[in-house]
Amino acid sequence: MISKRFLLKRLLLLVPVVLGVATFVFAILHLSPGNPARTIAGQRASEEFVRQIESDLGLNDPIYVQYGRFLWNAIQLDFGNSYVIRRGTPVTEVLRDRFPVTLELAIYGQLAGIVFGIPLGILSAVKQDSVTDHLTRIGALTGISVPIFWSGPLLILVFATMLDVLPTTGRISSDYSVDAVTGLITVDALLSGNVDAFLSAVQHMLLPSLVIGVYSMALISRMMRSSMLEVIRQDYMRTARAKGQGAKITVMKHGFRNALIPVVTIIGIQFGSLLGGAVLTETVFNITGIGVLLVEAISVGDYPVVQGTVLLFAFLFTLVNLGVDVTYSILDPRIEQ
Amino acid sequence: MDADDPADTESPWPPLSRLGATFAAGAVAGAVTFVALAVGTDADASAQAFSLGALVFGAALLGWSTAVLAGRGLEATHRHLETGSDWTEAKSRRAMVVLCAFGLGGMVGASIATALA
Repeated sequence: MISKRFLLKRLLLLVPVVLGVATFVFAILHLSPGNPARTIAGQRASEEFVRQIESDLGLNDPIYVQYGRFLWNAIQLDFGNSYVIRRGTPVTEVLRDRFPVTLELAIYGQLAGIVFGIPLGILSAVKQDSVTDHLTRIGALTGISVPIFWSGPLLILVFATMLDVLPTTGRISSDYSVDAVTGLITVDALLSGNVDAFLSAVQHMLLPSLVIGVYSMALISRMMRSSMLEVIRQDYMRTARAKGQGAKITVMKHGFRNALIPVVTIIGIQFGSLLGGAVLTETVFNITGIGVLLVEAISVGDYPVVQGTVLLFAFLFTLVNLGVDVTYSILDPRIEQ
Repeated sequence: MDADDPADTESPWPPLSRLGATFAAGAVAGAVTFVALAVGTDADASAQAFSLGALVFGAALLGWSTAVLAGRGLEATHRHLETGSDWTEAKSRRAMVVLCAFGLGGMVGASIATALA
């Protein structure tokens, strides 16, 4: 059982983290060159018009007033309106449209990594120095080493171009129209009761999830292997075996839970990073998630979108870390102390 | 302050006098940066000087949070790996608090200089 004090302490730490990131982003954006008013008005706009926009946006106010206003608005989840990408649309709305896309990709990719990575890591550790172990290690090393900008197009070439079994880009076939309820296209397709649309969405998610999943799987299986190897050499494992407990039961009952702690860290960090946008995967498969949004916003100087996206990312990352901490304390209650 | 004092090295908070001095140093640095930028460049001196202070403050606040969140784990890792490092959570937290004070001082100094200019 997790103590309330532990949970409260971790939740309270979200405040300085988010405040730190907010301040950092504010500072970076104000140190970078470029005038937001000019960005909105366009390069050919008159100076008078630019001054008018500066005045409307409060850019002429003293910097400390702007900082205070930025923090106050951020507390109320108001990041202003997009300058360029979706001009005039509130940033929260832009993020609400784009975030589920990234979330869905992250969930499926990470799920693939966990489902395959953990069993492979255990198998590799239990059968140390066997052919299975060597093959798993080579596979994991390959998974980590191969960059996504290479594996993505390669998978497209094989499964879409050569075999013609999976679609290359997008989230669902243009033949189907699904009402956005959750924003997760597979869930929405399922909720609409249209099986064909659901299958189409799953087909579209397969390749990008696989690309992310292979990398996660490689990381997780490597960590699971080394962690499990350390655990199975412990005295309590030997004692369990000496008392006559079967090898499989000993590994799964006594070893697995203890070996899982470092793996949970890796899963948390990986999932947190993915929530910030798998930029390469989104770009290769033309998925308009939060990663692509951030890159677009930086390149066109859409500051409110940059601020909103980075803050959302920081908040989610700390929230995932909170989840990791809670999982630690469930796996090993001594950690709370 | 005596650095060898065990009570001092264990505390995660620096003495108030040091915090005050660092804040004042930050304020002076912020004001000087504002003046230097205003005289020497075409840049928005106020925004630049304030942002530099905010950059230090934001980074230090993140560093402090990280030390609180993961400091014990990092300390344990150092011990486990026998790295010989004398890095501790308490020292890291104190250093980050001092940096926070400097950054905050910079922000206040730049703001005051802007208001007076």
